[in-house]
Amino acid sequence: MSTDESQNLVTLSIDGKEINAKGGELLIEAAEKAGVFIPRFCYHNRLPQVGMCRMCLVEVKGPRGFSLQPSCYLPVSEAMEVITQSEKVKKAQDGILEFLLINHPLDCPTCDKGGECPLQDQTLTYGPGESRFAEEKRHWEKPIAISELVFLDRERCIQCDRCTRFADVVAGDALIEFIGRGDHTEVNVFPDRPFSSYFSGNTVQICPVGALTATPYRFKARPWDLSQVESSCMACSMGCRIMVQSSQNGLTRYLGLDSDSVNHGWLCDKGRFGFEAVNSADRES
Amino acid sequence: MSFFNPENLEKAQVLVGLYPDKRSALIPLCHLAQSQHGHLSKEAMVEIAELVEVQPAEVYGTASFYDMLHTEEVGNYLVGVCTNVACLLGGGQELLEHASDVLGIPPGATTEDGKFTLEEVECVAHCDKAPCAQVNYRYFGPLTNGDFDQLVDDLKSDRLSDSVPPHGVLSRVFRDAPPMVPLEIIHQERRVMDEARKARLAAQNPDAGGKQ
Amino acid sequence: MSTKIVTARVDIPNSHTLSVYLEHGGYQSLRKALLEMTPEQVQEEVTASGMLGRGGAGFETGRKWSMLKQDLVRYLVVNGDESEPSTFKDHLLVENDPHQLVEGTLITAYAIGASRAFIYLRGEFALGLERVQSAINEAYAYGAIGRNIFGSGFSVDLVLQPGAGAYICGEETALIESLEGKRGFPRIKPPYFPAVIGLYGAPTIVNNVETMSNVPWIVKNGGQAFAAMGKGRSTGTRLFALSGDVMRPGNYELEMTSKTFRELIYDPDFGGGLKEGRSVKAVIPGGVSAPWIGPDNLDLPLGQDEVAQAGSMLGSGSIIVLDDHTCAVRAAWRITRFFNRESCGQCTPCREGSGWIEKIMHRIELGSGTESDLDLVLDACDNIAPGLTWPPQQTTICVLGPSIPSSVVSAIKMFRDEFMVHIKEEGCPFVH
Repeated sequence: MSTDESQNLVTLSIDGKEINAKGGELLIEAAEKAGVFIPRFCYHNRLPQVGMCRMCLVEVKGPRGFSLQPSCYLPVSEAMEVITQSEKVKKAQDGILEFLLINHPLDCPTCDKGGECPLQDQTLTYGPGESRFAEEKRHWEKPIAISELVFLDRERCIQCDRCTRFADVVAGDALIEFIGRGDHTEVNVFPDRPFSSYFSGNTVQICPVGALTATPYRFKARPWDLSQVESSCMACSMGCRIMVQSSQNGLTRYLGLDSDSVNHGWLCDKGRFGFEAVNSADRES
Repeated sequence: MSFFNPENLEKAQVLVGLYPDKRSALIPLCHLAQSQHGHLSKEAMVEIAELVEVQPAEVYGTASFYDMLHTEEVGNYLVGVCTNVACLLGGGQELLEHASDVLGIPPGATTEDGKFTLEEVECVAHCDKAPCAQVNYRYFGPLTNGDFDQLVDDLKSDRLSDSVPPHGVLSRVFRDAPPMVPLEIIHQERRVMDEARKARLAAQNPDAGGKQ
Repeated sequence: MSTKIVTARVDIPNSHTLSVYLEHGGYQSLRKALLEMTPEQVQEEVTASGMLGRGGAGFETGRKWSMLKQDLVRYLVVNGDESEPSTFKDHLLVENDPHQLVEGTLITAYAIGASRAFIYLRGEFALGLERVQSAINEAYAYGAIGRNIFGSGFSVDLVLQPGAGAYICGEETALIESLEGKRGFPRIKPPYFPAVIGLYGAPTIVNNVETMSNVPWIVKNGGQAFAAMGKGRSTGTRLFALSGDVMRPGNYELEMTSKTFRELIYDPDFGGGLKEGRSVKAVIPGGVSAPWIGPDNLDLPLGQDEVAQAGSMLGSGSIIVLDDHTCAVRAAWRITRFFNRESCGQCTPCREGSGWIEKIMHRIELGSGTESDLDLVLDACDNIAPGLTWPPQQTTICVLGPSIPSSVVSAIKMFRDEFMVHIKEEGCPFVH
């Protein structure tokens, strides 16, 4: 650690335990490094934070006492006091999960995301266990193709803005957007203009639910059946870090791995989906 | 191929020039498109996207957020009946039901002849005239069922064309002003005024120099 | 009759035109400010006036101006997106005295050194938009806007921006997003004030139409004269928009704290009382985001702190009267429906919670609710506004979220019996 950085260290308390963190670092990151995982959906360390899902609310002390604040949005500061385990935080997190689930289909057994789904996992960890929502759920036409590679199931979408943020900020073309308002908000493309981005597959990887799925992997495997090994992508000379996953002796999926100096977890679609050539019947050698 | 007609294209360019960032013209341009075409067609959104230099999906995403921007066709007369609290207390819900019967369409629908679209709207700030309605965003109220029938009759026979212009909230008045003063000039002038003031203060009160 | 400030001219024929405005002293305050006063002196007068913002939050205008970060580029934005249900004061001001608004805006632009000024007006104000645009056009031709105004060396441009139908754009950061041509998503706080990061990321002052409309009078008569009216923090006059179950709904400009709710509602010059034989059941002060107050609070003076002390807020200055023939459940349900329709959808509790709460309230009103639904709806409310306190805490990004529970909690607290009748008799006992 350089002298500059060490000078910038701050001390804060999380659940009564003093920790050190880099000044300006986001609370959600600082907490995780200190071994305190704060649940989240919209937060992604490689995207600008938006504080939309509200799952990461924790109690932070301010001039008027403790209040619920999104830990993905707050930078740590000297003498900050944070509580992540109170009744109040637990109730807020239960409440957010319940709100997210009232319009989320309970089709986990047939959902590709099942087994690696943050919503499913966090519901099991933090959720109330029983639904108090007696009404009809919101309905959308079941998965629609928004490009040749990507399917979108708007009923599963939790409006976390990850895919739309990625398209706008990282890929640079806002080809998918939030459409509509309020509880009728959907993610979609402009009519007849498909999500034809070179980087579309990343949105599937970062979707925290099964709303976005990629054609090559749909219904091919279950996450718990996959064998995986870390590797480098061979599609070009960039050398993006990848996780190669296989099932039943066949390649099923590449995922981008976050390598700070190379690809930040992102892959181009050629790299991500090119593996289909390996097992292709049309292959000549 | 242009969506905007020559007159509106000229207006569109004026609008784009009003802002430090072109995208600010997006909503005014959507209103302009509706004044030309009634609703916001795909062609219009594509052209607006070009004018403000964003993706068509961004125009669509923005436009779809706002109740007044219609990406589907609407009738010549957009009839909005308010049922929010003040109007509710004055019989707004019943007026909406009556409007639906008279026009023969549920809220949200357009008559077959394309003349009327009925909408249930939230408070339009005309609560002292409850229950009220707007036709192409022009106010009417308080309205009895009989008043509403008369209103529909007047609209059908085009007796209200003066007070209820066609679509587009700024279709009758457009900005008429010299070109914008460049921000550099504004800032230069401000600097000159600030310095003159400081000099004046220093002259008046030499001891307090630098305080202001 | 007390002094009229913002509505002094509204009843004069053609009050919206430049010629009538000039006949009645129009643009004299702008001349005075630009030619005889420094920007600091204008700010001092406004600070001395103690004027609280007229939009809803009631923040001191002078203090807000003083918080503006002094960057080279800084903006003034006027909030004319009046959409809080039963608020119709700005509607009157933009249609009947648009030049007063323009003059107040220009004086403010001078006082804060704005690089450019914008008036964001609600899209549904079709006539208001025409009148304000015409006023701006006339003011340019008259030399009150643009380059070197009245020979003062001060220049500023003023742009009218139409909204397009979204309640949330009344929230100042959502309004800024909308003005940037985007979806009206409120910005996450901190920063708490656009005075630090606002339009295009530059420091920005956002002031309400009525606030701006008071500025010419303050410059003409001095901040002290304004502060001499009213009491405590509630200085000057305020435009009260009275609606609901009263004989004479309308806008009434009153010296702040000079009248009580009862006087406003019953005085023959103002509300004119209720229908024969009826009594006040509840009053919703300050817009539907505010908790309700009961008949026992009718003698409260119409002042910022007085209403706050009673556990509600003066907010946008709108006052809805519900009489004893009005169903509290139905009124509260309709308010939840409003918030559900107007939720921007950005954050989870408001997007999903507003719809759920509306559905529960609707089924209670229709007679298919159960007693446990009352606890359920209150708990869902609690997950948006933890503790259901006032002023509220929130799990949401903006204050629309904790506004949703206000009417639900008020109605259940004040009229639980009425809810029970709906549940037991499986329907609404009121005629409507």
